[in-house]
Amino acid sequence: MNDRDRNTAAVRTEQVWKIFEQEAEEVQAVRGVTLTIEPGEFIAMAGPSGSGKTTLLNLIGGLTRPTRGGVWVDGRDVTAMSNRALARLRLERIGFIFQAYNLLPVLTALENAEFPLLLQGVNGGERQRRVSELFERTGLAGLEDRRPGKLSGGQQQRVAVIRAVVSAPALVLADEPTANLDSAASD
Amino acid sequence: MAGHFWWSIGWRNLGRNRRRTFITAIGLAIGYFAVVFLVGWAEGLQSEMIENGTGLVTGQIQVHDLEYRPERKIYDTIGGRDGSDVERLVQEIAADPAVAAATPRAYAGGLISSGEATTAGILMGADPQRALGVSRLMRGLVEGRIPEADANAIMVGTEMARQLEVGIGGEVILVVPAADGSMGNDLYTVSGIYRTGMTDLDGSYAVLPLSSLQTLAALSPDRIHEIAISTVDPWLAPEAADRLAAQLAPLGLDIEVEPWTRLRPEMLDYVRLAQSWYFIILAIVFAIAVFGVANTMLMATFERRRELAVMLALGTTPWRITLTVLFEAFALGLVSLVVGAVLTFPLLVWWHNAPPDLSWLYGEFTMFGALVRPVLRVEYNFEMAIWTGVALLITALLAALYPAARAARIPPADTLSGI
Amino acid sequence: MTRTLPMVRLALRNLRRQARRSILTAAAMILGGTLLMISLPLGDGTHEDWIESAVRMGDGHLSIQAPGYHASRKIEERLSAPARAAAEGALSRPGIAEYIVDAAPRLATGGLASSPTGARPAMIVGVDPVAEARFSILDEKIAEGRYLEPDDRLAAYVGAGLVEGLDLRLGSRFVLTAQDADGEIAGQLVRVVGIYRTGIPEVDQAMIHIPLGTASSWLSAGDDVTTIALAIDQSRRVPRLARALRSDLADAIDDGSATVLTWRQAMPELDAAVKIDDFGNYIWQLIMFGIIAMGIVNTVLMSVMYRKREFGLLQALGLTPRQTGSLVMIEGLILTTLSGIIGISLGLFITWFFWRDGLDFSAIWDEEWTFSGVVMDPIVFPMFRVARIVQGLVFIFLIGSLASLYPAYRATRIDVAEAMKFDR
Repeated sequence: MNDRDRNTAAVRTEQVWKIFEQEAEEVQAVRGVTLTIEPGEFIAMAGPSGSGKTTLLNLIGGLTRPTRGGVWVDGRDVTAMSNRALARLRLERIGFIFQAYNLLPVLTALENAEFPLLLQGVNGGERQRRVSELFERTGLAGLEDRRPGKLSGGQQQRVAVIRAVVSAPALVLADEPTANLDSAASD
Repeated sequence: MAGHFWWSIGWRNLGRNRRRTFITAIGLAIGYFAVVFLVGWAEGLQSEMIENGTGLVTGQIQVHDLEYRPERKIYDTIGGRDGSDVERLVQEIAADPAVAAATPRAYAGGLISSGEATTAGILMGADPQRALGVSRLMRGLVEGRIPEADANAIMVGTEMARQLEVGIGGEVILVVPAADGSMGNDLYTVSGIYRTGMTDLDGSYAVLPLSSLQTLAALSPDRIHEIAISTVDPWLAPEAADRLAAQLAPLGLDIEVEPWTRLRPEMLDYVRLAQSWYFIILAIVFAIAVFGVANTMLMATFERRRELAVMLALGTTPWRITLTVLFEAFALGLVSLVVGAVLTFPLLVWWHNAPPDLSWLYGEFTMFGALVRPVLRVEYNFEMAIWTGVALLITALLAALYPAARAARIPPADTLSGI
Repeated sequence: MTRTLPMVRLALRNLRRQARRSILTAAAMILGGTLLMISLPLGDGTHEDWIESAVRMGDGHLSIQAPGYHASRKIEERLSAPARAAAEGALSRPGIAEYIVDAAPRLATGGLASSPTGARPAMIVGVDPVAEARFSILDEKIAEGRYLEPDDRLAAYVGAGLVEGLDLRLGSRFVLTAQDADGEIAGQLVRVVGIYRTGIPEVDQAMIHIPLGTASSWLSAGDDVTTIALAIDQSRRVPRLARALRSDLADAIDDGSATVLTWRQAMPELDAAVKIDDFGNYIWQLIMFGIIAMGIVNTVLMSVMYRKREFGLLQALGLTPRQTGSLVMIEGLILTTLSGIIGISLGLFITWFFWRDGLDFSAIWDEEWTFSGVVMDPIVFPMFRVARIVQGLVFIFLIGSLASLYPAYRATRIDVAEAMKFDR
């Protein structure tokens, strides 16, 4: 593998381990995973519950630090970054979709969706333009001012998806995005 | 980035558990009420003390001959043995904007005898009309009327009247050592009886017309011992006294112009000490209140740790998380302030205008020789009300520091996976 | 009992489970209890000090005098020699004598003190120099010269204010004039042997002590006195001793020749000052604990809201709503009572450890300060009373109960079906 690969890969992990210590017992959640994901690639991970899928996603997203091994996102070494830099990386380069929709209950659907843009400091008009377009495309138009509690599970999940892609991130990490979805929306 | 967005997150979060927010706000509001009310009450007591201590007899400023105090010898009159142009002095003093009224007085110590008994008293010669504006003693008339100028009439306190067993129209003999070394004595008619509530005063002060006392004590009409001055506000007295001293200096009299703050320095000291306690009260009240807010904010962030983890996962910096929690606490502080103000000010206005009667609890008592009535009198202190508000907001923020710091350190992965 | 024990255990476990929250709530309560037990003993100590200083300066915790004398201060209303003898007899009786620390007979009258400089009204008190020196604190306030001695004849012990006013000095002669026992005006020449300064203007400018013998002959009073002033060991024994003395002197009281006055009757102003000071303290405590109560309400209420499911389960298992409510009450009461006891102990300990030998305020306190004729002593001695500790505990218990009532009520209103459905 040459330097060019290392720099152009969207995600690269090398012998990454994550070991949780649970009451003197070691749980090896991720055992020496090495993988490379190129830009534009669509990758799905499958495995039984507890096999470490979520942990690997968290390692890539910088939510958890590996016990050993390396993780590079967009050519940058995630393991060497400060929490602040990680927050910035997630904000600018990564979109997350969680198992549960995890919308912020005090924000409206629109505010939830534009949250990353807001963090990025995108101005109001631009935010409005980008979000409404996505609302339009996902059939959520008209629900902008509802709080999550007033949305169905599927509607909530669509808001979560918009939130993950609205800032056009380099990488979208989705953790069982359809786990809580009603069948109509998962189609 | 738009700060109001984080504001609104904090504000909306506050609305999620309204009952808890309200109970917490009540706690802080009671704290606000406590400080403003206790300070108001303390100031009410102080005002009562100052007003009664200076208003009954003394006045807020006094002018004397330099030699007069503390012996109060009968011949140490203003302007020395030659006296002064009393009318001019009084008019010059009354022209000062801070002066409400000024009255000339002469004093003599003497014996007062009725047919039944004899008692020693302080005889105060006063200009009956002018004195009304300075000493409330004159307004404490309960029977009869104030002695008319030039008449051989006297006003005594209820206690003295009782001891002498005289009533209105009764006759008393006054015996005083006069300024020329002789003993002056004359027959007087009791024209009025006053009551201040201070037994000492009511039993020892007798008021007669200035000219009449001057005749009795062998003082010429130009000789007075004191000009007593009342000011529009007791706290204006020190300034006004200095101004008057400068203004009267060209007259070349050896006089002192002393405000109550120098005549009764212990009263001023007491007020100063009481004021230094205000901030101690404030600190204790909010030290206790801080726990309630900390608890609420801790619960609020604990309940929302999942949301906070999502925000972190989406790239919100820990500092922003801290900030939203602090904003929330600040908003809680604002709500408490509103509740506190709604609770405090109507009561304060009510009690200021109609002080509740506490005579069921205690009687009158004296502080520094000044009568204090058994009423719950409160004074406004807007400066303190503002400081208390600031302290309340700071308390809310301080209480949120720990929960906010904890919120920023939430491990996002663990929290999201439900641990 | 067998039913409440598991409830207590459940409550304790819950408090422990929410340790941080419990500790924060307890901290407020502990602070409150500590402050309570600092302010009550110091307040009581201050009041005891005021009373002690006022009664020693004045007519004692209790005084025996003729009816009407207290108001008139006229020599006409005096204790006749037989009434005085009866009173002195009563004082030596068991059940009374052991509590009397000092007794001082006095012959006092209002009069005029005059010097070549002028004349001042004065309170002239004829005293037994030995008994008075033990009774009064006036002899300790000496500024110059000496106090009266048993052999003195024409001596006077005069306040600094009067000395200034009359332009006197040690050894100066001046004249006392007053109405004597027969209603005649009589004069008496005396000499200044000592000058005192109490800081109370009313006293320093007016009170003169002269030997009782001199006063008796000047005022033609024979063996009569106007007052017998009594100091007892503790002010709270006053009501009981007053009752004992009144029943002992029933005859003299009935025929109008004597009366027994307590310091509260003799000095209503001091009584008022003590009461308002206590009142202020109570209001302060009420407000403090009001704030603390809000914290307790919140903590207990939240613990109810978080445990809806648990309470639902308990009720599904057969607990009545009433029992569910009492579980919450028990939780609140354990929290408040425990932290209250800790706070009270801490407050007592701090007060005892740091200030049992007196808390010195002299840095901020002016020695000249007077409050209802009492000089405020800048050194405050705390006074520990079991009754105050019990009151504190009861108060805290009441606050705890009141604060737990609403959350307990909420717990009784939990809809079991709803709670069991409730997720998370």
